[in-house]
Amino acid sequence: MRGKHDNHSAVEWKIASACVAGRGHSDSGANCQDAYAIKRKNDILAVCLCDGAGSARYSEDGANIVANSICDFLIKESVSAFNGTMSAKLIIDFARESIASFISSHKGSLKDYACTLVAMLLKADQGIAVHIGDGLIAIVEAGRPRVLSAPDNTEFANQTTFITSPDAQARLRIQSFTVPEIATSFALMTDGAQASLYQRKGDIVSQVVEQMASWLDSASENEASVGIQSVITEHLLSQTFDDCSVVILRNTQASFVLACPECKRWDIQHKQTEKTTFLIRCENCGHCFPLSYKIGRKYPVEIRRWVSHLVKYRKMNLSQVHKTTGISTTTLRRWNRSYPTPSISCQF
Amino acid sequence: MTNFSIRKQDLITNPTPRVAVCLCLDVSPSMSGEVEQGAHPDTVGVPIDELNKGIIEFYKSIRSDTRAKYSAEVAVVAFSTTPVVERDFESIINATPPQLTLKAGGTSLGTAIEKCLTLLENRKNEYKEAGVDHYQPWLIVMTDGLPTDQTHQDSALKVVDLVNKKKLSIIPIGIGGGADREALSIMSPKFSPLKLKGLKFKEFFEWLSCSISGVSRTSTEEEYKPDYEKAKRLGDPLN
Repeated sequence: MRGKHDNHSAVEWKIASACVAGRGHSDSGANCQDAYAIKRKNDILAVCLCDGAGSARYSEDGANIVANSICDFLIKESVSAFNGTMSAKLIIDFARESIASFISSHKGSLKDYACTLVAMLLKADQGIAVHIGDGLIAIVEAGRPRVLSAPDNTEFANQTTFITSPDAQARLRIQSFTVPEIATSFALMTDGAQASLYQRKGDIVSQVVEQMASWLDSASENEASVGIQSVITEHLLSQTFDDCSVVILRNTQASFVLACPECKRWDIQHKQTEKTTFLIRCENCGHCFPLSYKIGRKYPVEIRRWVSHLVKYRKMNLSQVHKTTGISTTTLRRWNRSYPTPSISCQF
Repeated sequence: MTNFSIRKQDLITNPTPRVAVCLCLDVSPSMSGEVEQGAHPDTVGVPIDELNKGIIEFYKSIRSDTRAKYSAEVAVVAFSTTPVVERDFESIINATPPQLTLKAGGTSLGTAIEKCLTLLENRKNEYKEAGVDHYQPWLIVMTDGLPTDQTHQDSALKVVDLVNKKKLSIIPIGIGGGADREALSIMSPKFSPLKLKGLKFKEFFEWLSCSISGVSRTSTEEEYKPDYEKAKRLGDPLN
């Protein structure tokens, strides 16, 4: 699978993003009230996405101020963040002070700058998620997206907690996690984008997240960002009146197991159809395509990696791997010395 | 050349967030406009006729609004001594507005409100089970006379509790000169009851429809307040 897991650095993560104003705003002429910030320092990466409250007068500014200031804060306090001593109070206070500082030369009061916050701090294989209000952080593992930090909506869809709310400190969630080897992407999104990319019932994150992330394997960050903007404009805006924003992080150093070129899941079946050809079939969407290798050569490295993935993460035994891939047990045993040599008493 | 495509079928289709609106409407004999039936001497016209026209207008108005059309779910409870559920919660898209008729008896405001609260609670639980997002529900109470029992005392406590916990918005409206402001005000902790000007039901329901279509995100600190400025622009139906 991955060569050296400690090779994560800030430069390994390619990032693409887009914030698009919702239909509700185009009616009233207001700009997009979502904002994001990305900061890197040495091997540390901070990403913040904020959603300004629709009812707050200067929430567009609020979102910008908080996104930038929290990124700065997370980088500055990364040591305490990763050793678990960073408090919610410090985060809230820092954000509010940044707003207060802005207000001193501008108009309004704290609540006029209300916004939510989804943020991540990454260093090597350690991660911190900071989250207040709605919006979502998703992680993609082995081609499958799942929720890392869920939206906090209290009871009603039109009520959430903001960084300026009285109960902000109680409702701010800080989560530390290890970035698994099979994690290929992260996605941060505001609740407008959630409407098409997340289903609350069943806690399901759309596969589209990984499809967009995969663009970064071959495209530049700018190109992929334009692509995300198109997806939002063509598909997401019509499902909500809200602003829609998505920030995607792609681990470009990951050794990918073969992913379905259509839906980007790693759940695939290989079947050897001829001596040098596999037919790959995606278990998720059913897409089929052939994978060939030269006669006399070893199996394609994608196949080797995939077998390794089945053994390590899907916990398959020899017989199951043979059934899934069609590769002979002799070859499989040669690849994976830990499989016991069969004797009469051995059962699989 | 990167293919910037996605699989459309992998996008999630979430149900539209719903807003439940419960109309709690007095159809006791005084709504005939006749003084012998208990109507206020100043009443001009037939209140129940105007109310029915207003309801038709309400349905029409919401249906013509792109935001509210798919969100609003309306229940109608008509009451005199006992409440009758004329319409349980349903999407407004294909619904037909009820045609209300006078009901003999007194005016048991409290019993009617209890019924409405039950309907609202049931609907909220249905949303939760189905995983449907929903906004804070609305209860609109309209009465033209004095309650004929004391049931509203208890039900007012329940309503006040819900409103204070931000689980409900209530709009109490007095129709005509005979409405009991006290009975209405005890169930509205945030603002005083409104009074319908004359029989401007149509204008009121137009204002209500606008308000519902404007349901948008509020923070947990914010209070619901009726938008009087908007009401003024729409024929000024409220005092």
